[in-house]
Amino acid sequence: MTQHASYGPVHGPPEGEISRRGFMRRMLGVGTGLLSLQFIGGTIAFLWPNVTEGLGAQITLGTAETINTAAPQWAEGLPYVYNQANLFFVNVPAGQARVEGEGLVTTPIPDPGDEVVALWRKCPHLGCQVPQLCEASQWFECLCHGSKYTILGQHRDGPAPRGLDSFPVSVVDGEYVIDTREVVSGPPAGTTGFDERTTDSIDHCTG
Amino acid sequence: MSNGERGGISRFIRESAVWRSLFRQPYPTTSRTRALAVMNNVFLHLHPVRVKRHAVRYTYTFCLGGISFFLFLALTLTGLYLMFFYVPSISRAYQDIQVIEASVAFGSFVRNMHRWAAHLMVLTVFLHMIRVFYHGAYKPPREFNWVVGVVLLFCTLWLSFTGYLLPWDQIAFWAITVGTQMAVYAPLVGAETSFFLLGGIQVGQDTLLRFYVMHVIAFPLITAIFLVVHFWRIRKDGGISGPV
Repeated sequence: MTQHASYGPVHGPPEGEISRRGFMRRMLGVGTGLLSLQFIGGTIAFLWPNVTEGLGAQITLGTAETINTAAPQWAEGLPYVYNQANLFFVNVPAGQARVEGEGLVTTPIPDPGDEVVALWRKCPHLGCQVPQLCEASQWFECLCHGSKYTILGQHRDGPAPRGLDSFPVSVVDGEYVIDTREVVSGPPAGTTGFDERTTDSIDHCTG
Repeated sequence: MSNGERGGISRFIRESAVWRSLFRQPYPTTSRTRALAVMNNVFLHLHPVRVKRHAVRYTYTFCLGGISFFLFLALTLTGLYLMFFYVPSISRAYQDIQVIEASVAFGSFVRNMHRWAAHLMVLTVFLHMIRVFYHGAYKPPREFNWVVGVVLLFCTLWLSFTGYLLPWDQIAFWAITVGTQMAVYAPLVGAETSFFLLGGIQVGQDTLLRFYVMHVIAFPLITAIFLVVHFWRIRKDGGISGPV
C-alpha cells in the first residue's frame, strides 16, 4: 500500500500532556455539549404544558348559591357535573339524605359548607368517563366494565383497583375552589362510609 | 408542414438559451456519458450508476423500502392538500373532516388516499424490516443502517399515532386516551411523559394542537432527515445486500 508522505504520524505533545489543539477541541466539545443540553432543557421547559383552566388548574366553582342555580337538584344530593374539568361535585349531607331516602329527599340541603367532595369522573380502572349517579342504586356505575362506586367514590364492585380519585376542595370567601393540580388517589377497595349496602341487595344500571 | 420546417422549430428550441441551460450535454450514448448524466443530476445522483444484477430482481426485495418511501411521498402530498381544509380546533376538527368528505372536490378521494397510504405504510415498513431481517441484511457493515431503520419505524408509528387523533371522533379520542395512559406506566417519568404529550391531564384542545404540530411538521421533518441518512448508508455500505 502506497502512503503519501504527509500521511505520516502527526507531531503530538509529550506523553501525559495536552496539546493546544487538543485542548481547543475538548473545549469545543464541552461548549457544544453544554449548549445542546441548554437547548434541550429550554425546549422541554418551553413546551411544558401551561395549564391555566380546566383540569390541571385551580378551579373556582362559585358559591353554593351559584351551584344551586346551575343545578337545582344539587341540594337534593344529585352530584353537580362540572364538565370543563370532568368532575362530580358532591354535596355530602344532601347525598347522604338521597342515599338513605333511596332517591327522595324531603328537606333539601342547599348549603353543605365544607362537607363537599370533588370526584374525578375518570374511572380508575381503565379511564372511562363515569356517568352521573344511577337512579336505581344511587351509585356511580361505570358503563365500560361495570365498576361501581358509592356517592363518595368508595369502590363497591367491578374490576377497578380503588375508589374514584378526587381533588382537594377549599372554601375561599364562600366560594368553592378545587385544586386539580394534585390528584388524591381514591380510597382502597373495602372502604365504607354511610352507604353500607351490598351489590346484591340493590338494583343496578349496569351488569 | 414539410420536414424542413419541423426541423427548424425543433432546432430553434434545442438551440435556445433556456434549453441549453437545462440540458447541458447531448443525449448520452456511451457508457461514460450515461454515467456522467446520472452523476451530474441532483435527483439521479442519489442512485448508483450501476447496480448488481441480483439487486434488480423484484422478488429479492419486493421493493418494500421503495414502496414505503413512495407512500411517504404520497402521504406528504395528500397531507398538504388536507391541511388547506383542516383546523386543529376541538370545535372545528370533526366538522372539517365531514366537510372534506362531503363538500370539497375530490376531498373524500384525497382523505382516503391519505388514510389508506398511512395504513399501508405501516404495513410495508414492517414487511421491509422482516425482509431485511430474514436476508440477514442487518449484519455488518449494515448494522448502523438497521438502527437508522428502527428509528424510521418508530417515526412511522408515531406519525400514524398522532394522525389518528386528528379526526377528533370517539375512536380517536379514546385511542389517544388509552395510548397516553400507557405512557404513565413508563418508569420514573411516566406521569410526566403523559402530561407532556397531552399538554394537560386529559385529552383536550392542547393535545389536539400538540399532535397536529407533531404530525404535520415535526415528525415528517425528522423522518425525512433519517430517510436521507438511510438511503445514503445503502450506497456507502456497498449497495443492496446480496444473496449469501
